[in-house]
Parts: sequence; structure tokens; C-alpha cells
Amino acid sequence: MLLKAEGISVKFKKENQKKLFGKDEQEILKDIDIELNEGECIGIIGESGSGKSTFGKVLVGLLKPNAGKVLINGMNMYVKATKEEKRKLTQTISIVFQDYISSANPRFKVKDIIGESLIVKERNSGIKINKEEKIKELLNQVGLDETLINRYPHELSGGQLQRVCIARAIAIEPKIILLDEAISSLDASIQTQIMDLLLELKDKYNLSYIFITHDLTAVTYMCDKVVFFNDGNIVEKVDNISKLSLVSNEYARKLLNSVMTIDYKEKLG
Amino acid sequence: MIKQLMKNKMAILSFGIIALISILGIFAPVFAPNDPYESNIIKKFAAFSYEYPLGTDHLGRCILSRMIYGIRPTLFLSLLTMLGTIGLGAIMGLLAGYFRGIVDEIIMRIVDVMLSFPSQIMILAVVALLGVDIRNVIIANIFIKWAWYARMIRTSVLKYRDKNFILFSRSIGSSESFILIKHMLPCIGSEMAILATLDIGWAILNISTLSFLGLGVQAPVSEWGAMLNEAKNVMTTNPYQMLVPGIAVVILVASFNLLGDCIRDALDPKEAN
Amino acid sequence: MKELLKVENLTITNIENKKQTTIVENISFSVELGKCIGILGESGSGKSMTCKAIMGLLDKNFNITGSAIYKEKDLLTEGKENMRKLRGKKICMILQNPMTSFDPLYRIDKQITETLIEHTDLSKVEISKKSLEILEMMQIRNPQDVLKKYPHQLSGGMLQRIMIGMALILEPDLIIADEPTTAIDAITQYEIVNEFLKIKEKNQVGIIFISHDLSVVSKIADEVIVLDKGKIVDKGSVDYIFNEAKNPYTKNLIDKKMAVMKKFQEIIKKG
Repeated sequence: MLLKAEGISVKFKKENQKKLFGKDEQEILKDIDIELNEGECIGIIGESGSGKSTFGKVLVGLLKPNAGKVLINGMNMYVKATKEEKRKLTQTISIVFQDYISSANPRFKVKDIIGESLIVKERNSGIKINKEEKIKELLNQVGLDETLINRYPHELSGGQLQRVCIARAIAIEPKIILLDEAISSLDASIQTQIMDLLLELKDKYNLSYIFITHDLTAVTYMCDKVVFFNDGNIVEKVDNISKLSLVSNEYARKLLNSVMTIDYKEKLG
Repeated sequence: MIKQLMKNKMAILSFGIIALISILGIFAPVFAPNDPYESNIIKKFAAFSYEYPLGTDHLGRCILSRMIYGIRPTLFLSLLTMLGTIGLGAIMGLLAGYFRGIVDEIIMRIVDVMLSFPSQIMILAVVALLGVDIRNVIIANIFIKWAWYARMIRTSVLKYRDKNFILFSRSIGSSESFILIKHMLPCIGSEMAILATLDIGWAILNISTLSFLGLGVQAPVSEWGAMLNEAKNVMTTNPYQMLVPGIAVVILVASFNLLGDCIRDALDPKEAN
Repeated sequence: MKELLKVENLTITNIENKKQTTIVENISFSVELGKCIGILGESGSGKSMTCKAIMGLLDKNFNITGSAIYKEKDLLTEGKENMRKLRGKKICMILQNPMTSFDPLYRIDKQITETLIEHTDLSKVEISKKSLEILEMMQIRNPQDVLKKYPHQLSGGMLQRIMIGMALILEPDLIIADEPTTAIDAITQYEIVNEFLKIKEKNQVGIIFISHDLSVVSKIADEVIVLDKGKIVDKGSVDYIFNEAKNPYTKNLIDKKMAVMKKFQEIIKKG
């Protein structure tokens, strides 16, 4: 078991506090459990506001939940730990965001963006890395030309910038990558290209993915299993993607149907 | 950003004025025609002449030379004050804004307390306590003013703190110092630059005001505010003595303020992009 | 078929900063009443700019040549005031992000009222009736409640439906929809596409539907033009584009989308 989340519950303080003492809270996540094995890709699908991005933040260590625990390789994430243990945890999982524009420091060149991950890797492993070489290697891995090394984020297209973000995510050699709507802001054909890249990297480096999206066709393209999020709850779990058409939950069925009918007038045969 | 600034004529003008005044101040012995402290009672209130381009004051000292030598205390002491204020304010603002939680609470409550005192009166009080000395004026300024900048910078930090690239750095475990120095500082750097230019203007006025009141630099140092102080007694008989430092202060402060404006304009469209 | 809008050789160049950059080059297409033309293209292909030019929404930083004939008038040469009168009444535009199309400071009923007052002579009572009609037509439940809400209290999907409703109630001849489903979640996207289909059937309007998503375009459009970097690289019926297109850019777009769709169909069939 690579990653296990148990009983995750997250509450945020409400904007309009009605009580004088105590807190008015809104439950964003209610008792969420998921499991991820090595080499698997799990899809988390739901609408905006369903809590999936918040859940993503909990899984990578950016948001401490009000209840529940996150275990990566048996290590508990939000518990007091030694520096060694903390470093091991942060190195195991990395993240690629939806908004690629704010994902990169606008003042950093491509080589600095990826370089930051390498600095962390160097510090954690104690082995010196030839950064220039490694950066060129990583750029090639994600299908980019080495000449982009000195460009700034605003000088790259959406697809290119997102590839740089993927490069820096794999630079720390994680076991798990969380993709938080990583392809949603890209054009349709670029989406497929990036998904192909992700599948390639997954095989090459034996990665596991947590793929958060609102697009069911992306889930079927990428994932081995999927959970449906609605209003902070998991309403359906599909442990084997080939059983997708058997979902029983009303929301899940609705989602399924809203895809099927937008299709091609394909010539048969 | 510098390129964009260069396109703006006002920016070039104000920067040029500041640069010119700075060079005059640094190389004062080269540019000043006379010794600023040499008094020659016979020649008091002399008119403009080749020897005394701006005339002389009530003690017969060359006004132009005093002005040029006066750049040093006026400008450079203000610079020192500004660096101290913004330096302390930035550190506090960064820590409060980035770490949040109890660090934020403590720092912000101190800021709230500092801000609730009327600043001018506090500065006067501190100077009165510590004694009349220009060093104490600077200390007083820093002591009072850092709070304002801490709050402004904290707001900037909060804006950037939840941006995705900071979240990524935290999630992979980049060291805090890396995030603060390499990411946050350059981000807020541009906003700090604007605050810095506006603050120098304020500092110049402040030091000049205190010197005018006799609480800053002491005679015979020719700080512009002190010159105004001496000139107020002879305002009617020799108005030039008051006009020259007065206008000079206005021009210098205005230049800094306009430069700050231009920097802000140069940054805004970029931020929008 | 009555030809509603005929665009010929539309070329837009950006003349800011002494550099001349061509945004779109020699675009020609026509829209017929009761039909929908889909403009397919990726970011930067110039699809939004084309429609903004037709609507007269580009400022003097752009040089526009060519013609866009609507009811014997060339929209590209019409004066500002005439264009303003046409916009909203005869030609309606539905934009991408519904949250930003509404003023966040005013309630929905006020905003609908503003539009109706501007373009019709209805009395206050009639306007209230019309507002409810709009919401009911879009199958929005509890229309009375929704009217009293602020934009941020409603979902993107609902706002987009209100936008479409507002566009329809004025009975325009031409609707230009610029990526109306892109910022919306899947279920609502499906519902909005159905709305457009109904509009096409019932009302006698011509629709220009801009999108980068092939599946949505395939559902709604009768004819498709494919834009790549400001030029039309393919033009034809939906069937032609999806099955017989020879242009490599178009083929690439189709192949990529097909790959994803095929996988989806495969998995669904397995169960």
C-alpha cells in the first residue's frame, strides 16, 4: 500500500460567523478514505466545489485535516517527525497544478524552476548532481527542446509551461504525483498529448498518479480506478475501471450519461 | 522593469535630478566654490556674484556651498533612515505574513500598538528622552515607522503566499530560507521599491523638520532644514536665504515621489499580465 | 436557405507598437438562418478576435479589412452608434466565463431589467413577467428566488443559462457564442449544449459557436471551419471534417480526440 487516506475531514471557518463564541464551520470534506497501490493511477472526479482540490492539498502535506490521517509507505504525514522522516515524506509525493501560470515563479527561468527541485534532491540524498546536464535530460524527457532552458514562463505556451511543471515534479524522483486538474486549462489536443506523456513517464519511472479532474473521458484514458466526489463526500468507488458502466450512484450515472451522448457521427466500419 | 521605466520621461527626469544631487553631494569639495563654514561677517547678505553664486547668509557664509555640503546630511541620513525602517519593516512583515499563526499574531499586535501612537509626537518624545543628536533622530524614526511598512509588506506577502509556485516549493520540502529569499523577497521587492522611494521623501522632510525645530542636526552643519531654521529669522531682510533651501527640499522630495509613482506605473501592467 | 451573415476575406492586423502582426488572414464563411457554424481552433488561433471584429468590439489598435455583410449592411464599416444598436438586439454575444459577464454588485433581476429596458419598450410589469419567462425557458427551478440572488451565489452553469436566456428573449437574428461551455462542469455542459440544440430547432436564429472542444462542436454545428494561427485550414460539414479531412492540423485534432473517446467507449462496453 503506497498511500492510504483514512477518515479525512476538513472544515473551514465560515465567512459569516453567526455565533459569538465558538466557530461556525463549513464541512468541506466528510470522512474520506482512499487507497493507492504502487504503479496505480487513481482518478478523483467531481465538480468544482466538491472538495477534490482541497483533498489534493491534504494528500501532499499542504493542509492539515481536522480529523483522519494520511499514510505514505506507512509513515503518518501530519504527525511530529524528525527532519529525516519529514524529508522522506516530502520527497515521495509531488504535485502539478491546474493553473500553470501561477505555478511557476514569473521571475525564474526554466532552468531555475527545475533547478529548485534538483537543489532539494541534492540536499536530501547528499549526492551532488550536475544540474545543467540533468535539466537538459529532464526537458528531453517531457518532450521539450533544450533551448528553452533560459526562457521565462511568460515566453512559453500553456502546453510547454505545463511540461516544465511536470519536469520539475519528476525531478525530485517521487513515487506519487498528484495532478490537480493538470490538463483542464489546456486546449483539447494538447490535453491528449500531455496525457500520453504522463502515461509514458508512469511506465518509465514506475510512478503512481492521483489524477483529479472533472472530465470522465480523461479518467478512462489514464486511470485504473476512480472515486466520485460530490459535495465533500465520496459517493461511489470504482476499483476496476472496466466496471465503470456499472456505477449505481445517481450523481455518477448522471456524469456518465453526460459524456456518452456528446459523440461523433462516426462512420461505421 | 528598468526598460519600461526608461521609456517614461518623468522617470528619467526625476531619476536624473536625484542622480545629479547625489553626485553633487558625494563630490561636494569638488563642486562647492567656497568653504561652507567660513564666515565673513563683512560680506553678509551679499547679492549673487561670481564668488558667491547664491549670495551669502547672515553670517557671510556662501549659501551655494552650504547647500552642496548640506546634501550630505539631508540626503544620506534620510537614506540611512529609510534603509533601517524598510529593512526592519520588511523582515517583520515577511515573518508575520509567511509563518502566520502565533508569530503573525505577536508581530501584528506590536505593530498595532506602535501605529496607535501619533508618530510625530512620538519621535519628538524619543528625541527628548535620548537627547538631541542626529543619531537619536534616526533611531526614533526607525523605531516608530517600521510598523507601517511591516503591515504593508505583510499584505504583499499574504498575496503571494498561496500562489502555486510557493505551494509547490513547500510540498517538495524546499528550505524555508530558500522560499523566503529566492521566492518571496523578489516578489515583494518591487512593492518595496515603491515604498522605499516614498519613504525617502518622508524621511527628508522629517529630518528637515526636526532640524528646523532645532532638534536634529546642530549648527553649524548645513543641513537644509537647519538652514531654513537660521533663515527664518532673517526672512524679511534676506528672503533668498529661506527660498533656496526651501525650494531645494521641495524639488528633491517631489523627485522621489514622482519616481515612486513611475515605478508603480511600470509595475502595474506587468502584474496585470 | 436565407444567408444571414456573409464574411468575406476578413483580415485583422494588430498595428500597435509599430510592429504589424497579423491576427487572422482571409477568413470567409457564412451563417444561415436556423443553422450553426462551428469555429474550431486552439488558443491563439484568432477565433475570438474574428467575432469581436464582426461585432465592432475591437479598438483602433487593430486594422480590419474585408467585409461582413448582414442584411445588406457591412458591419465592418458601420458607425459606432449603429453597431451599438445592433448589438444585444439583433446580434447577441455569449461569452466564455459567465461569472465575469455579470456585474457582481447587482442582483440578477436588476441586470435583466437593464438589458430589457435598453432594447425594448416594455413596462416594468411586463419586464418582470419576461424575466420570469427567461428563467422558466431555461428550466431554472425557483425562478423567483434566483432573480433575487447575486451572481456569486449562483453556479457558473446557471449563470450561463441565464445569459443564454437573456440573449434569446430579445429574439436576435444571430447569436455568437464564444466558448460558452469551457468554464463549466461536465453535467451542466451537456445541459447547455441541449439548450443550444433547442434554440436551433425552435427559433429562427443563426449561431456561430466557437470552441476548442471537438465533441461539443460536433454536437451543435452543421458546418465547421478549422482555424490554425489565423488561417482557415479546413472547411466543411461535421461529417466531412471528422471523417474525410485531409489537412494535417485538422487530422491531428481529430485523431487526438478520437483516441480519448475510443478508450472511453471501450471501457464502457466492457462493463
